[in-house]
Amino acid sequence: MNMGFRLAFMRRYRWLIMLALLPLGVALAVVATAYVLGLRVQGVGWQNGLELTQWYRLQNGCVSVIGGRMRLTDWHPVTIRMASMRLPKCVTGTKELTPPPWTPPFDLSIDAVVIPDLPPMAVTVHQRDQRWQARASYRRSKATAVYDRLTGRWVAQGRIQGADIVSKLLGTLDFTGQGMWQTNRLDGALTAQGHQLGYLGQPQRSDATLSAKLAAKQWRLNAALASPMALGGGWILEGRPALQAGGGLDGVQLLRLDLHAKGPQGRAQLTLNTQGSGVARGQGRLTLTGPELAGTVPLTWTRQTLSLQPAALSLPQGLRLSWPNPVVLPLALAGESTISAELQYQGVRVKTVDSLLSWQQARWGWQGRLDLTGNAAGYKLAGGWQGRVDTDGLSGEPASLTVSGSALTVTLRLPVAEFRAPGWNTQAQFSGHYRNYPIDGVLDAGYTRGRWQGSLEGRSRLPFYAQGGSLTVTAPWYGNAGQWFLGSGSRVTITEGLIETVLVKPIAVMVSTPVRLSAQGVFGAIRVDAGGAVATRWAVPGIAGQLFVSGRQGQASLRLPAWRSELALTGALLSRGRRTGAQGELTVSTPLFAAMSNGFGITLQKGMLTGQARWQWQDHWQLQGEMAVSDLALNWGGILASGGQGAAHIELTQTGLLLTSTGPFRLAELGVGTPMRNVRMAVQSDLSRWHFIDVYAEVLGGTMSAPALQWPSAQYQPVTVSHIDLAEVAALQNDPNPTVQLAGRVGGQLPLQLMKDSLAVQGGLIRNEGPVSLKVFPSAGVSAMGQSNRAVQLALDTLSNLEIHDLQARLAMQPDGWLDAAVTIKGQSPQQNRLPVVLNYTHRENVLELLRSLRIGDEIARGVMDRRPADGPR
Amino acid sequence: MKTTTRLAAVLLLVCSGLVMALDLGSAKAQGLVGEQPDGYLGVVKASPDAIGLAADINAKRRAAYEAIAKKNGATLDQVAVLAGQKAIEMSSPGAYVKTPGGQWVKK
Amino acid sequence: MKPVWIVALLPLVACTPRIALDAPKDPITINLNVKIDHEIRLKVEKDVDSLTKDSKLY
Repeated sequence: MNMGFRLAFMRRYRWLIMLALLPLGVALAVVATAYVLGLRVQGVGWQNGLELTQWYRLQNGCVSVIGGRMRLTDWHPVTIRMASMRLPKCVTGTKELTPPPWTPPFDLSIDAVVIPDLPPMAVTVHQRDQRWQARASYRRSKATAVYDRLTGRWVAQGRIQGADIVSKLLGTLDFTGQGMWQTNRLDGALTAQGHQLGYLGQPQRSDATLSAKLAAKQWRLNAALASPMALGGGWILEGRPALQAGGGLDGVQLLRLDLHAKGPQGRAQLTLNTQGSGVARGQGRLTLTGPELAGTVPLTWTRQTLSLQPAALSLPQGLRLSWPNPVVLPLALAGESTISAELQYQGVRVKTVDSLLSWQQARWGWQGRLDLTGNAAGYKLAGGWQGRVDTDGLSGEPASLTVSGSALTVTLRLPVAEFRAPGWNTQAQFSGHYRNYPIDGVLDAGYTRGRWQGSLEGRSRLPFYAQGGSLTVTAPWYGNAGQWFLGSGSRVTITEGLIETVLVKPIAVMVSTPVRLSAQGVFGAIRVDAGGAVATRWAVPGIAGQLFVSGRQGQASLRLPAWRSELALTGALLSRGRRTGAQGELTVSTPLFAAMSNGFGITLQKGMLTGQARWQWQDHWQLQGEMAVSDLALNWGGILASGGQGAAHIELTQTGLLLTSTGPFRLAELGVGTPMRNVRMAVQSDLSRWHFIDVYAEVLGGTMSAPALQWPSAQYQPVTVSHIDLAEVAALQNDPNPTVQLAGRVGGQLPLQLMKDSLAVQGGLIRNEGPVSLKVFPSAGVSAMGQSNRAVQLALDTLSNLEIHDLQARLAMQPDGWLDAAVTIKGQSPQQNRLPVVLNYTHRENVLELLRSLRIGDEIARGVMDRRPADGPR
Repeated sequence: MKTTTRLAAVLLLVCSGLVMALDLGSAKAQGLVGEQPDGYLGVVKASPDAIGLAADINAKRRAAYEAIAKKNGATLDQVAVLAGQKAIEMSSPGAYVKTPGGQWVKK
Repeated sequence: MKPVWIVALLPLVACTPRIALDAPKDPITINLNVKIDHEIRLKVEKDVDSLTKDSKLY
């Protein structure tokens, strides 16, 4: 084509060119306008339509919208696809919410609209006949909105799944709304209903309602729980309006939160109010009321900090928490705050010193010092710890606690380095003293396989031991809250030591199968092994036994193998009101033998002792029971008693011991020099005074009896003797060729004084009970006396055979044994023509020594008796 | 007589059996033990050795007293008290003895 | 209680009887006084002495 043709064509179709250029001009105008509005584009291209790689809008120097990969695929209607649109936050001052301008019909779809704090949404917008329809969706949450630009009406509805907002949030939220949007006017109302809202991992679910209104550029929002929500531990969150918020188009101007919770310990109320416009500053109040809760915590916040004003709170179980200075917590992802607070429980206070709470994202930590002071159960407590607690556990110095009372002072040192999950290992050392006696040891503890376990090693010296008596405790232990066990192999040993002047041999208490310790008491079997005791005059041999404990009761069976003694004991704890005590039963069975009597002036030779009793302890001991002794033989050295038997009721009370025989106590024979047989009497005693009732004994062929005798007593108490055979009295000469022969019986009264270590007779009177005869046989000595004097010869002849019809003897015996007898004998001599004779005879002799001399003779005979083999250990 | 032989046997036993950690003479000299009016040895300054010694000696004394009492028809306490008087008389100067009132005094 | 037979011991023990006879008219009256000593205590003392002196228990 040549140049001339071109010019002609242009001249002829100039309008056509102009027409063709018109859209270009419009496009240029649009581009210019867009540029002025802040729109910028990059990477303009063409691929089945206009394509922009990226565009954004600048507003007051801030990028308010960024779009990525936008394609314009059709013109009628205008169809735009956009890969993403991002709306960063810009501070833009007061926004005018103008309704959208006129646009040609269009379809807009954006794959991801990104708004800060919200997940990316897929959005489509259609417009036909000035009627806008928008849809947004993210995962399973969807919302639609319709806006009619000609009438200004808008409606919206949707369903939001909690999990789409925060992954652990459960439940759904349905909302509907409608209103008007015209120039300078946007108003409407929105209601929302939450269903089964909750948090993953917690059982509580709740419905909630929310209503919001927007009018004259101001909005107001109310939110409440539809029903009370259970919080656990008996606490519920009540369903009254909880959140009120309001504001303008530029943000929140008012926020009011009012939460009411009710639980078994009381009520808690939290109110928060914004101050001024916006939520940047505010104040609130946490109020606790109820039977176990009391206190108010005023709080204020600014955009940077939350401060808790000084407060004192009463918490359940008598716990009190207070802080004297405001606690200021920076509202930031990382920060720190000094906290000084005091926790008080009964008489114990824990105070923080130089304490600092710090956090960075999810990691938090506390460091500082804790000081503990106070009183508990009559003991003064003082302790402290300095260190750090964070998500890794505890670190720092060992914690220390000192417990001190009038007699006891113990300091515990608890290293914290290993005191953390999962093992919680610690090795606490304790040391101190009880009175002047040291206590120290180590407590090992750790947590494995769902239970605590460790070992206890302790040492002490028992305070009532003057020497020795070191106590060692070795106990493996394990358990969990309320259920603790001492493992088999646990033992308490006490070394040999002195209690006053008694040497106590070693004692060991062992656990052979695990023993359970709980609030109900101790349960299990314990073995006891005691070596016995030695004193200067007596010894107790070793004791071994088993102790079965079952909560508040137990039973023990103890044996003294060397003595073949057995002792069974049952007991149960008693509580009456605030006082505690115990009661139970006791049975004893033991043979009696010489080794038991080392400490006494008598020697038990044989016998058997049995007893049963009920015992009780409440402030003091009480015991009532029956005891019996049989086949008893004993001696006081030269005096022998045998064939003893009897039973007694025994009663031990606060006032002392009372012994009352049940039936008579019997002795087959008592060898005082001449045998006393079939001795019997009832006995009553408190061990210092003895009453003998219905005393009876057979002696010298006759009997001796007394209705009652008391020992010791200064009184002269009547003793009756009767049918005493004078032949047996004469036989006391212990002479194979006796010079004197007596026949007949005598009887009478012997007033007897029984002092502690002696006996005496005063005013005793004996008479004959019938005819009595006396014969004195000639002996060398008697004949010699007669030859020297005729009168003596006559007297001797008279006495060689005397028939007595009247015999009176007055007797008195001193405590030292000296007997004075004044005897008047009236009779006649059949060989001297029945010559009447009066014999006045006085006699002085130590009766106790006489009896002793007779016992020596008996001893010879007894030596033969004793020759049979011993039938018991000696 | 039988009792006499028994007494002799007891005495022999006592004399030969005296092998103790602490011997009586030095225990008395150190003031650990002393004689009492009841005829038995008492502990002045308690220690396991002193108690062991006194327990051993007293058991042997008691056996000897019992043999004498049986031989002479006396009671155990009579013999023991008599022996107690003798033992206190025999105690060396400086050794502890118990008064009838129960006090330990240096002789 | 049993004093009469002690007459028989007169020569055996260290006693000092004193017998007085009144005129031989009715009735004849005899006065007799007897005291008997035992030596038992001395024997115990002897045994106790030998125990305390000869044994090593004191």
